[in-house]
This record gives sequence, C-alpha cells and structure tokens, in this order.
Amino acid sequence: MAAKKQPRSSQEEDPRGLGWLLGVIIAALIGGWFVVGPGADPPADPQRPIKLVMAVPADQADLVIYKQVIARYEAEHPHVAVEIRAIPGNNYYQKLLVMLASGLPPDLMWMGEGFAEFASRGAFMDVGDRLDQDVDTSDFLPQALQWYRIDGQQLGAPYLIDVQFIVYNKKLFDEAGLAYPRDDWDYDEFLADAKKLTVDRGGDGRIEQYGYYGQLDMSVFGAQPISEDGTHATCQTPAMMDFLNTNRSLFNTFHVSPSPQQITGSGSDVYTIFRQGKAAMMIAYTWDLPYLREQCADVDWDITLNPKVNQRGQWASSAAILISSKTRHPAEAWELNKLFLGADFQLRMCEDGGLPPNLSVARQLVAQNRHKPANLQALIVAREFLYPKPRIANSAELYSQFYNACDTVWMGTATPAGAMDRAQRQITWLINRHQERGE
Amino acid sequence: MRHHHRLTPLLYLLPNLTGFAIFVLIPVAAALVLSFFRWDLFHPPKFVGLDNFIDLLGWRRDAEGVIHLNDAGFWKYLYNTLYLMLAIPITMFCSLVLAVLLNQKLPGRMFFRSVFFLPNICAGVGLLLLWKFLYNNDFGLINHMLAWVGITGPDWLNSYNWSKPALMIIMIWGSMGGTGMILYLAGLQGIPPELYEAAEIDGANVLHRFRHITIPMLAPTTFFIFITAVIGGFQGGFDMAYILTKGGPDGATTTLSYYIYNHAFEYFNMGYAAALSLVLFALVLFVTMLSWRFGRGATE
Amino acid sequence: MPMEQKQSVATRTSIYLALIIVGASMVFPLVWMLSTSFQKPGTDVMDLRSLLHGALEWRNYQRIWSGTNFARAVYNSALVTVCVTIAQLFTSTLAAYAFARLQFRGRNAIFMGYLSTMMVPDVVTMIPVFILLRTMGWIDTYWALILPAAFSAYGTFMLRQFFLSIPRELEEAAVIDGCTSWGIYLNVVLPLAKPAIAALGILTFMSSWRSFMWPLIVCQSQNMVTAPVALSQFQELHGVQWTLLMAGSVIMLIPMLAVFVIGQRFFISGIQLGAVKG
Repeated sequence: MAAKKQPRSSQEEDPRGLGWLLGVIIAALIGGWFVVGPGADPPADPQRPIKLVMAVPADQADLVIYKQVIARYEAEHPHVAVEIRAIPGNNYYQKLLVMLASGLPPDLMWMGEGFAEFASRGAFMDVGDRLDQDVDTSDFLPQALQWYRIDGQQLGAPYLIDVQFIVYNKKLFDEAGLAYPRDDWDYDEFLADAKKLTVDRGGDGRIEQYGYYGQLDMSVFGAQPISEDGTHATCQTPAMMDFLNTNRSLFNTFHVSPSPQQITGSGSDVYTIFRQGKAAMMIAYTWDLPYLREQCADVDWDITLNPKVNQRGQWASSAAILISSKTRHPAEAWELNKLFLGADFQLRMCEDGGLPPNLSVARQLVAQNRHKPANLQALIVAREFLYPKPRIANSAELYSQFYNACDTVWMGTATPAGAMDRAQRQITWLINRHQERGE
Repeated sequence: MRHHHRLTPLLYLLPNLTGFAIFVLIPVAAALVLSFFRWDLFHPPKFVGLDNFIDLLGWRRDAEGVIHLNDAGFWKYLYNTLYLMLAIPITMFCSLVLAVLLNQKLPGRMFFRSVFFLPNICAGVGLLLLWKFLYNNDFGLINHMLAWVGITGPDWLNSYNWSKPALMIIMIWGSMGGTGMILYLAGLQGIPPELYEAAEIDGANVLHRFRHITIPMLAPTTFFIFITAVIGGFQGGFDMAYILTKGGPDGATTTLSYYIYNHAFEYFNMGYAAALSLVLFALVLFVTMLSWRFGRGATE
Repeated sequence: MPMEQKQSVATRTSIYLALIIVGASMVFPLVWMLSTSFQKPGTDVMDLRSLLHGALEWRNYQRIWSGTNFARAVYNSALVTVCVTIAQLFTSTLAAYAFARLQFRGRNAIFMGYLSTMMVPDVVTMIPVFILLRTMGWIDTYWALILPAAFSAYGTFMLRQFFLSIPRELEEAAVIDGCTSWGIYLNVVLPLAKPAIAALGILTFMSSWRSFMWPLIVCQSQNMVTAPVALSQFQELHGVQWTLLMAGSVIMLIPMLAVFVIGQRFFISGIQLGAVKG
C-alpha cells in the first residue's frame, strides 16, 4: 500500500547507483583505516617515561633545525621523548592560548611579538639562576637579555633578533647617477635621493617608480604611542607629530612613496614590486632576506640603515624558545632549552635572516656570509639603535587604537593633531580601565 | 499523527538532542556565563558582575562635560555589520532568480548550476587575493573597466566610504549561486506542477505565476534562508576583512565578529568577548523573534 | 501555440545570454587557480599574461602529495567529513520531523532553544568545547573532530522548514491507510524531501571538508591533522608560494565539485499530487 502512495521517482536520479557509490566510499574509508592505522599518537615509549611538548610555528627551514637539536637531546637523555607541534603561523598564538586556557600547555614554546603579553600574565618559568649557572651570556647584547626580564624575573633569552632596514636597487641608483646610501645618512640625503629616484613617465600623476616604498619608522623620530612602562599614552608628543607629518609629506607633498593605504591595499607582494623595479628603496625586515635572495635574485640589491631624522633608530623584535611556568618537568625542559641558547643554534637560525643576540656569533655570521646583501655588517651597526616596541601587557589592544587613528591621517580625513587627540583619549581610558580592574 | 504515543516525539528527538545538549548547549551556556567574568585565559576567571557590559554599552563625561562612549569601536563595528548585511536581501533576490531560471528544463542547466556554485567551492585565500588585485587602484581590472566608460573609480579597499561596498560586491557575487540558490532549487521541487498547470489554464502569465504560486510556496524556504543569513550576517565578515583589509581603514571594515575575535585571542579579554557575544546574541534573537512574528505563515 | 513557441525561443536566448555573462565571471577564478597551479614557482600570478603561457608543471602537485603526510591528512578529512555528513543527515531528519509534524509540549520552546544556539559565535564557545572534550579524554581523536560538528541546529531548522512545505494531504492519506508516524516518516516524508536532504548533504559536506579552525585547534599530533590544516602548514613551510597554494586548493576542491555535481541531480521535482490522488 505504501508503494502506491510513493511519488514517482524521476528518471534523472539513480538511487541504486548512489547507494553503490556510498558503499564504495565507506568500504574505502574502512580499508584505509587498516592502512593508515588509528589516529592518535603511537603509544608512549616505555623507555622514555617523560614527554616534553614543544610548540613552534610551522616553518620548514626552522623545523629541520629544531628536529636536529631534539635528536641530539634525545640521544643524550634516553628517558625523555620530545614531541614537536608545528602550528600554522597565522593561528599560532590562538592555538597556543586555547592550549593554555584549557590546561594543556606545551612545556616549551616559541615566542615572538606576543612575548610581553604572555610574560606579564605569568606564562613562563623564571630561568635566571639556571641561565647564570649554565650559559655564558657575556657576549650577549645586554639589551637583548633585558627584553626578557619582566618584574625582576629572567624568563629566558632570544636566539634571534629581527631588525628593520632599507633595501635598495643598485641599478636604479646607478641610472639616477647617485652614490649608494651610507649607513649613517640623514633625512635630507634620503629625501634628495628619493626624489631623484621617483619616476613619473608622461607626467600623468601615475608613478612608475617610487623612490621609497614604505614608511619611515617611528624609531627615527623617537616616537612611541605608549610609554615604556605602559602607564600612560604618549601620542601627542612633538616626536609623534614629526612622525605623522614627515610620512604624510612623503606621499602627499613630495610623492616619493605610495601612501601606507596604497601599500596595504596593493594586491602584489613587495618582492614582486621590488623585482619589477617599481621601487628603488623599500622598507624591509630580516625575515624578508630569504625571499629577497630567492625571488629578487636577478636584481642587484643591498641594504642600508634608516636615515637619521630626530635620532638614529631601527625597529626590532626578537624570538625565543621559553619554558612554560606550568611544565611538570622543569629540569628536563631546561636541559633542552639550553641547546636553544647555544651559539650553534643562533648561527643556524639566523643564517636565513636575523641578527644573533650573541655578538661574537653575529660577527661570525657576517664574516662567513657569501650571499646578498654585501652590507650585512649593517645589522651589527644597528645594534646600537635597536628600538623594540614597549613590553606592555595589553599592547595589541592599545596599539589598535593608535593604528586606527594613523589610518585617518593617511587617508587625509583627520589632521595629525586631531587624530592623536582621539588616540590619546582612548588609550588613556583603556589603560585606566585595566588598572581599575587590577590587571 | 494526533494519535501517536506521548513519548514518540522523544524518540525522534533523542539522537540529535543528546549530542546537541552536550556539544552545543553546554558550551554555549558556558560562554554566555563568561560574560560576567574577566578572563585573560591565564588566570582563573574572576567574577565582575556587570562590569563588562558597562564598559561595552556605557558612556562617560569628561571634564568639559562632553559625553564619550566607553567603547566607541563597538558602535562603529555594529554599524559596519548592519551595513554589510544590506547585501543579504540583494543576494537572496539574485539566488531566487537564478534558482527559478536554472529550474527550467533548459539544456545545460546542470552545467550552469555548477558554474554558479563555483565561487563557493573556490572560496578561500586565493579567491580573496584575486579580488584584492581586481580592486587595486593602479592596475586593477575594475578601475580599468570603469575608465573605459569615463568613470574614475575610487581606491576601493583603501577608502573609508568605498571599502564596505567593495566587500558587499564580493559577498553578493560569491554567494548568490551558493546556499541560497541550492535551497531555492530544493524548495522549487516541492511545488506540485499541477498548481502551475491549473494556473496556466486560468490564463495566468509568467509573472502572475511567479507571484502567486512560486513566492508563497517558497515562503518556508525564504524564511529559513533569511533567518540563517541574518544570524550568519551578524557573525560574519571575519575572513574577508582579515585577508583583504585587516579590518581597516580606521576600522571601516571591522565587523562585530572580527572585534570579538580580537578581544578573545589578541587582546586577552575573553570575558569581554563573551559579553560582546551576549549582546550580539540578544540582538539576533530580537531580530529573529520579530521575523518569526511577521513570517508566521512560513513557520507554522 | 506557435506564438508561444516563438516567445519561448526569444526568452530562452536572453536567459542564456544573461547566464553566460554572469557565469563567465564565476568560472574565471577556477581557470585562474588551475592555470596558476601549473606554473613554475615564482611566476607573478597576478600578471594575467604570464598565465597564458600554458606551462604544465606537475611538480606542484607532486610536492604537495609528497609533503608532510598529506595523504594521511586527506584520509582523515574524508573520514571525518563522511561521518559528520551521515550523522547530520540522520539526526537532523529525525529531529526535524518531530518539530515539523509531531505535537508535543514545549515543542516551540525547545525549537527556539535550538535556533538560539546558532546565534553565539564559535570564537567564544571554542574553549568550552575544548575543555569538555578534554575531560572526556577525546582530544586528538576522531571523536573530537566528528562529534561537535555532527549535531547542528542548522540542519534541523532547514529540514523542518522543508517538511512544513510538504502537503499534509499526502500524510493524511497514509494515516487513513493505517500508517504509524514512523511509516509516514520513512515512506512519505523522506522520499518527498530528497531534494532538501541532498541540499543539506552538499552543504554539510562542504563545510566539514574545508573546516579549518576547529581541526587546527583540536588536532595535536601530526597523525590527526586534516587536509586544510596540513595545507596551511605546508604553505608556511614554503613561504607563500602561489603555485603550491593553488595546486593544494585544486586538490581540495575536486571532492566538493564531485559532491555538488552528484547532489544536484536530486533537484528534480519529487512532489506530484497526482500520485496520491491516483
């Protein structure tokens, strides 16, 4: 009786064929199970009762080096197994936060820009005594160690310092009849060069070659939106006004660079722009070096430091492997961490781009450099002027207010004074709010 | 159906309800309770009563008596979110037209259905970066084409006023052949052809049949698409803004979901993110209830 | 009659024209992705001229397959997606039938409860779900990937709406014939709702297949990684290389395209009142 009531099935579908297909798929999945085996990790090795988990961003070159270090460590410590978690870099901090918040923190973790925010919340173990005892830090840049000291605790030490610099196209300098920039040049020389290197063929306002692609960093103005200790906003200083006015004049008055908005909105990546000769000078960072070497191999390029404006300055940041304050195996974790502080590790990690915090390692790196840039020495010169972001517990939240206000200046919808008035007020309010809440 | 046993509905609901209660209801409840706490993800959550909501919705007076919103960003991002949701009715209309066209016995309709669905399949970083390139002010295809007809195109993604329409165009283009079209296609199959045949005999033309048969018969589908699009719209815009504009310029393309993400995983304010979510929840619930009342015919 | 034929030819031509123009813009990204995936690494993929060279670099695909156990990741994805889709279709059809057709106390309240859970963003429920799975000891197992996605309010709501639009006459006839509610569900409602179930199947498959955030958060060991996560790890292993990125995306979209092409065959009229009357 039900058959009579059933609607006619149409010719275009063939349920039996679909049933077969589903059957085959399920059979394949079950078959595949026996081929690839059950999902989770192989059972813990009884020979190695202690397991250390180390979280790092997925980056092939780095992973190879980590694995070598770990192999060495495991050979020396037969009772410890180390598991490495490679996390896609864009989501690195998010995943780490979920692991921490849900009580499954890794024993060791990589830290970059997020360090201060994690550290001020007590994420890392104090290794000060161990560091003094086991590692020779006499050759370390003192400021690099200082960056990792929070509330009197030494939470570790970096293995690499990222430095900002300017990369330039030698051929375009030659064509314009200009001498290559010196590391100790100043703003007037920079602007004169940038003007001569800017080409507007046909005078239609569409610029074919920019003298400088990027912004002059806050460091050369001595500007900083928030004070070093994070207690008050410093958006309305003369240095900050210089930063905004000078950069605005670069694209507004002199037309030697695209506006920051145009740069973020461009579909092409910076290496393509540099390779195609659309920029004679460009802001760059040590992590750009491997891509510049690979993708701009046919460009004759070198690097130089920022011009002096109000002062010398190079934006800087650093990376370290740190031990979680929640680790259950501090002694074993430290033994592993020690290897990440050694000269070998620094040298290998910085080969692709980065300044080793250990000065003698840095000198060795420069001496043995056979690739571009020829002027790698500039990074060592820059150590005097490194200008990292202040280490503030709520830096991402506070800085977002500042960056939004900067956007209005670049778009021309607000004056520097008006924009910074807004930023100052909002940052002050946020700082006060966090203090009231006792954070 | 009036004669089923009292417990019969339970048997139907049980498989879904059990899993749903454990994996959806409990976490959602936990998240909403968090909005009365401050939680930096490192220390145990601290109960703060309504503090988060005061920071979020309140205002203050400065020394000169000028009123400032405590979180001006929130209101702006709420506006952005609502603005971008204007794309919903347009998309729904396009989806309906496409579905009706592709439900005709046209040769090649299977092919066209797949073609219009393609942007949904290709969606991802690559597709968005392709759009970024098309929108480029200097060499993007869109401004080139506008120049041919004598229009100087705006600098789409970098302009405070044009960045939102730019994102809306991507949304409409990308989703008109997506979920909406599929659901309308499925819905159209539920309309008995006899209704059309009868109307044709009565002399109704195409538009008449569309208005008096297709639209009313699709009402439950339309209702579903609308409600889910509104729910999705209030929570949407993260991927696109993250990849294309980073939420800028000056927060012009930051949506509420982007803001919630920032507070949860960039600013270490999980409690505040939960409070934002609770406000969002109340808003969506209100809009849904409202549509429920007006869409009564489609829901009962 | 001939008049009508003529009209229909004219309308058809204009319909086709409109479809082709809009459709062309939608095919373009696929063509671009395919073309890019066969280019030599380092090609300027935004320069459309360079994509016309017709290069055939299979190496991009080879590198991905041989990369960080991508085959394993594809297997994981397939297993999880198939399980999630089947579970969703099974539980959603049952629940939706109860909400659409059975009378019981608190029906609307429970349904609103279902619906309202969709209004809370994933970002804030992520950590509670994670903690929940940890207490169950399921982190880093297939359960953690399958279960949270298997019971959605979305599917229940959607099917409920479709069940509502099925003419009640069909069921009433079945009741007169002595069918139980189970019989009606199996023999009347399910067959009539095939297009809707197919639609839900396609949508669930797609969202599960390319879901990224949750697997990323919950997969700990390399063995449990799903394809989108593996691809994103792999991309960062090689800087952002467009050619590799696109090759990976093309591999990812093949199953989705297949499911859509198969699933849309069900968008065929299922309801014919005549079948009941006869």
